[in-house]
Amino acid sequence: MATTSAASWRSETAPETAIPERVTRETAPPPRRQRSEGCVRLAANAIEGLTRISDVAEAGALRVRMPRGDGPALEGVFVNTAGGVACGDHFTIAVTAQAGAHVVLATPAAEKVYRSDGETAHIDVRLTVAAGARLDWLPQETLLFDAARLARRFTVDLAPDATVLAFEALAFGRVARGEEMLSGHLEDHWQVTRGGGLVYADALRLSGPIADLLRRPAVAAGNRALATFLYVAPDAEARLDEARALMEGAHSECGASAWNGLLAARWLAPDIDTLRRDAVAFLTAFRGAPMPRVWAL
Amino acid sequence: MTDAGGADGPAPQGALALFAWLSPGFPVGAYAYSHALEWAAEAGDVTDEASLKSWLADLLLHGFGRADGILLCHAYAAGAAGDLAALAAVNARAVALAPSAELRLETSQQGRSFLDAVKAAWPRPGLDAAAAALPPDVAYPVAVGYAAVVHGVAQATVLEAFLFSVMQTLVSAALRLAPIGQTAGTRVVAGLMAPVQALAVDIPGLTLDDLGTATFRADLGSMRHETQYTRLFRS
Repeated sequence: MATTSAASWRSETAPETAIPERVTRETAPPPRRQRSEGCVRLAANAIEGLTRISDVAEAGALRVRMPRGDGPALEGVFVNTAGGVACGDHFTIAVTAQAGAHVVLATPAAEKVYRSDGETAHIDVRLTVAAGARLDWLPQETLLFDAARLARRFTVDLAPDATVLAFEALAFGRVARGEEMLSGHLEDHWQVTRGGGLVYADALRLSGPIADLLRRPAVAAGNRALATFLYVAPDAEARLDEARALMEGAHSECGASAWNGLLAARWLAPDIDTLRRDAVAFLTAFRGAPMPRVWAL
Repeated sequence: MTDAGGADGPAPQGALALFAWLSPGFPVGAYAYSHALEWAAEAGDVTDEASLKSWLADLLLHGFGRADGILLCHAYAAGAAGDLAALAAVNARAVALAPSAELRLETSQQGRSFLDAVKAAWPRPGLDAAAAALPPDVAYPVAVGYAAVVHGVAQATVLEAFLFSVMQTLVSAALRLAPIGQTAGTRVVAGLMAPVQALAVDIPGLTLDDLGTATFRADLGSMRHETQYTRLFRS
């Protein structure tokens, strides 16, 4: 199984000597896992129409790679060298697109969030997009294993005429392998400001009996993959009809709405493969560009 | 702690004003909104008494009911502290949390109408100050929570009454959308009393970080409602 090596590597047991004499292995508290921390800070600026890195810093189990792109945009790919996210891990990404820059960010595979022994993992993403700049946030899906606990914060600060296009998908268990996320915790907070004022907030919260919750019609009607798309741009509202047309024929339940200079869309599907097919078709047409190359690997 | 009533102070009162403020006759236009129930009926998710009760209980406990309750309490606290900046921040968050154009209209149009109506008929300096400090879009629970503290209505009372009235409004909408009779609808309202009361006990200790909803599909439904062929409701 693809995940076994990562999972066992990560659940490193405490040395034998750490177990007190009179405590048997059965009653000993679970060994304290080595926590992963990772942080990437990236900034890019535009010089003569080409976006280049102006600052990059990496720490811990998170790296950023910059494959040579085809166009004027800078493509960044975040790599989690720990192979996934587990209890108590903390990953931080901060990216700034300076005036006029165009940055496209992605991940090379699904981000796996493993079973937790109690602690919640944290992922914090902060994007800053300056005047006339554009940032496309296109990570591949986050895959939640049974008993995973994840708190994610996605914060975007935009200049008044800046553009952000963000897509995030979540898969609850690997349906194709007959796995299910029975219980756990997920909170996913989005906040977007434009010119300093809050324009969009979203907080998805599924806590406790996840599988039971997902079966409820108002929650997910038994679907196990969902995705949110947000486009904040000067032309966002004008593109609503186009966005809806691009959803025709989708196998996912999906819809779009636009207000206050932004366009939001959602997908809900029985499994992540169905959702990806629909979302990739939408994103490719809406962006007028292929997905970052890592999506196809 | 200064009171939000400003110089004239709040005259403590019981629940009487709430019977007017939260009645279907209060001019906020509550009858025009279904919080995407119209889509749920069209999609076959709400078809009878049992499915209506279950759908509404989810909206209450895992959806906008719980979130609006938290926001109401924070608006109430901002008012109690006379902190208009905090009130504006809670309102900004509340308005931004609307997941679609129609749900944003639902909360912000009702909130503004509510504040204007209370200000006109139950005037207080604190209400004028809030009306000036807030943008045109005022979230409904924020307006209700703030008006309640200015008028000395206890938080526990307004919280319970607000949640219950929102549920009752949606039951009324459902009776127009699905083959559910008056008596069945009334039973649904009665059946939602206990969950409303339980939720109202849980909410007051929660912070704005506890905000969050699980009702992803209901919110998606509100997007789909925008292009629904026949529509009686604005949301």
